[in-house]
Amino acid sequence: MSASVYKAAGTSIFLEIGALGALKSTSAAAQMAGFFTFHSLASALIAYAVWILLPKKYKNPKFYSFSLIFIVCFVMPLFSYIGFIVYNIILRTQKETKPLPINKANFSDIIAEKIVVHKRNYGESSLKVFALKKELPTELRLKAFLLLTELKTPESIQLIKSGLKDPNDEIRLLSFSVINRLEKELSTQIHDKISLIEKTKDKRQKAKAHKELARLYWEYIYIGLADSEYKKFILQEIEKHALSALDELKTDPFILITLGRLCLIKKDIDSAYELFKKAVYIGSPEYKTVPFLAEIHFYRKEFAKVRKIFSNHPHMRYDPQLYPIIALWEEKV
Amino acid sequence: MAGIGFELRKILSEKRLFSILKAYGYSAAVSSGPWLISIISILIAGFIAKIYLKDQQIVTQFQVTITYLIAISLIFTSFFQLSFTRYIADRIFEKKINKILPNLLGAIGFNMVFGFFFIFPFALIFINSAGVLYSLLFTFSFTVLCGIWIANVVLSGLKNYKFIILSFFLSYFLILVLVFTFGKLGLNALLASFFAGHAMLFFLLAGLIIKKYPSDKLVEFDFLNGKMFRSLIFTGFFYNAAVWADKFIFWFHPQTSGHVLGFLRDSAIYDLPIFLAYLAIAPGMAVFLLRVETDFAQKYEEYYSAAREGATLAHIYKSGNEMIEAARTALIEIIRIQSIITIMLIIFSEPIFKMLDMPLLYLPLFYIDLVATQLQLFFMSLLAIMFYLDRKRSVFILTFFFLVLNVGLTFLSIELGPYFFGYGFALSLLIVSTAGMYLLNKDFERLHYETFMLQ
Repeated sequence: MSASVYKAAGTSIFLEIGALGALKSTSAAAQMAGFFTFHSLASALIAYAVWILLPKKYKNPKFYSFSLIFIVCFVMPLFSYIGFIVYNIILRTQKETKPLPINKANFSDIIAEKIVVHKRNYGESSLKVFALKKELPTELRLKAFLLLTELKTPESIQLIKSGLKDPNDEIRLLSFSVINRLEKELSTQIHDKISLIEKTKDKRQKAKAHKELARLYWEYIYIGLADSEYKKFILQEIEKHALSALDELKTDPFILITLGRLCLIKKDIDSAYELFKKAVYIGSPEYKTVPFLAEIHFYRKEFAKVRKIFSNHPHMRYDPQLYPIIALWEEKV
Repeated sequence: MAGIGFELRKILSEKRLFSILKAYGYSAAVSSGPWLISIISILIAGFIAKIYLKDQQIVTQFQVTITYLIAISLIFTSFFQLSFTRYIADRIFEKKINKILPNLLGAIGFNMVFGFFFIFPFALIFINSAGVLYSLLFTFSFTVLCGIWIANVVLSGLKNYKFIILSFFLSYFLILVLVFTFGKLGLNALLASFFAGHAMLFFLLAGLIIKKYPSDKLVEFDFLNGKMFRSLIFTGFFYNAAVWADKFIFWFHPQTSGHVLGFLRDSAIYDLPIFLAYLAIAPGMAVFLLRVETDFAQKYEEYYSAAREGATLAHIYKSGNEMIEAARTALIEIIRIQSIITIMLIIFSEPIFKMLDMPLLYLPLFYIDLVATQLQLFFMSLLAIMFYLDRKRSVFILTFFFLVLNVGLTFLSIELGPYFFGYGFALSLLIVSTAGMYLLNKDFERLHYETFMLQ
């Protein structure tokens, strides 16, 4: 502690005694004038001493922090001396707030509060029955169709497509709007990519757009939006764009996987096999090709290899969609 | 109030009969502890002073001075109390904890400076007959009280309620010791004791706040940058002014008041019964804190988290209904418990009055004051729920009418004669509480719509 702090504090105490002494004056005006003069000076000096002792971070902004201490000293004559000694100790020992201890919580509370459980209103199979059975009340069938629109799986799209021929106006309209919306979404994205290819001169960017186009056309096939005649055209487009992308992105294994899946659809099993193997060779994670390779072995009637390929990738059984297939091949069902 | 809410929930989760009693005990201690300690201490201080002082008038002057100091400082800081509470709550919601300390100290400094310049001329001009020292002590006590009321804003958010109650206990114990030691020296010594106790309380509470809210700055005035709601500034004023309006009218109406010191007057008829009636709402305050700050606050948090974080519609509806149910349970329980207390006090009032050596003449006024304070508790609970639901406009209107009605009906009750004293305050509370229930009911009916469409 510097000598100036002691000096300021000592002088302040003397001035404070002077302020109390001033109250002994005979006239009220002299009492007031004397008290406030001495007390203001005493407050300023003790505020200075306290301010000097403050931890560095609390000294800013200088004017305000000094003013606050002065105000407290001014309105609490005498008591501020004791108060500020305690304060200094508190400020110097202040620590960051510790995190709250972990409290036990009721399991049921957590479920109710935080975990949003997606309840199934129908099982998938009954959903199909509700959608297809025309004798059921329209209200129930509409509800089933609405749920189908949320699923967005190839199976649900097929069911919605069947709704296009439904005798019920509302279901036909709903199905049409859903299919129309899906087609619109895809065609807008396709249009964007085509215009990007036309505009850009960067070969790599063009190739990436081709790859994306192959994926978008593949989406048509995957969710079953394309009808049989249109499907032929779509498959040609996938091949065309995938090959264009491959010209530039020679080491992109995902283009090879797309081409492999195309060959599978065309039942060109050997080419598909080569393409999947090549994809793994140039860097695709093996598990990405496992379902397709298993399919190829199945077509080739190499059933032992199907079982082997699944047993080589035990983690795949945790995929809820693959689990029933793997369980079957492992003879667990 | 989050701090105490967590603590009470923790006690209640023990699921034992004793833990319910314990929760009510803590709740009573936190909600009315400091208030009961201060009222009882001032009473005892008066009794102690009476033993020493030949002039009983000095004791009355001391008690009236304290009442005025508390009333005027509460009304003076009322512009800040609610709006600044909301400012702090918003910073806590934004997780800007480091903003709390500098702004709180800024607000304390701001109120102290303006408080000093507001009260000093008042003390000098209107109470000059008591001398310069009295005026200075009056001014300094008022300024310290202003600081305490502002510090009080964040106290309920801290979990250290044991320390808070201990601070109040120690400070008032100091007042008692000083009154016992120096009381015989007269009014200035009594007032200096009161000031010393409150200076100690200020330092203890502010010290706790500084320790609990670390920051990299000591003072800031961010709260003045348009971040406080204007409606809350006036709501705070209307509420505090309304709560004191009937008392001031009784103190200054020539038919009901008497001169005490300088400008200060009291009402011998009105003061004692209302003061005792306020003591009677301590159990209701405990229920209010426990039910509103734990049950309702928890359901409120669940509902708004569900709405904010995109839970299913079914879950949002379920949480909303649970929140409404919690509000209803809280209000019914407050009425139920406080009614039992009121009825018991009405039944046993005669023996209690005889035991305390108080004239039975006060009884009719005491009965209506009991009803009035119970209604005030109910009205306070309604306002608390409305604040949770962010119905600033409704609260603004209700508190404004509370002020207007309390002023108007209290004047009318005085004109109608002694049998109607206290009815003005009670009736104004009955009207605003009924209106409050109607508005809250409407709000709950449109809860989901307002939550989603008006945000």
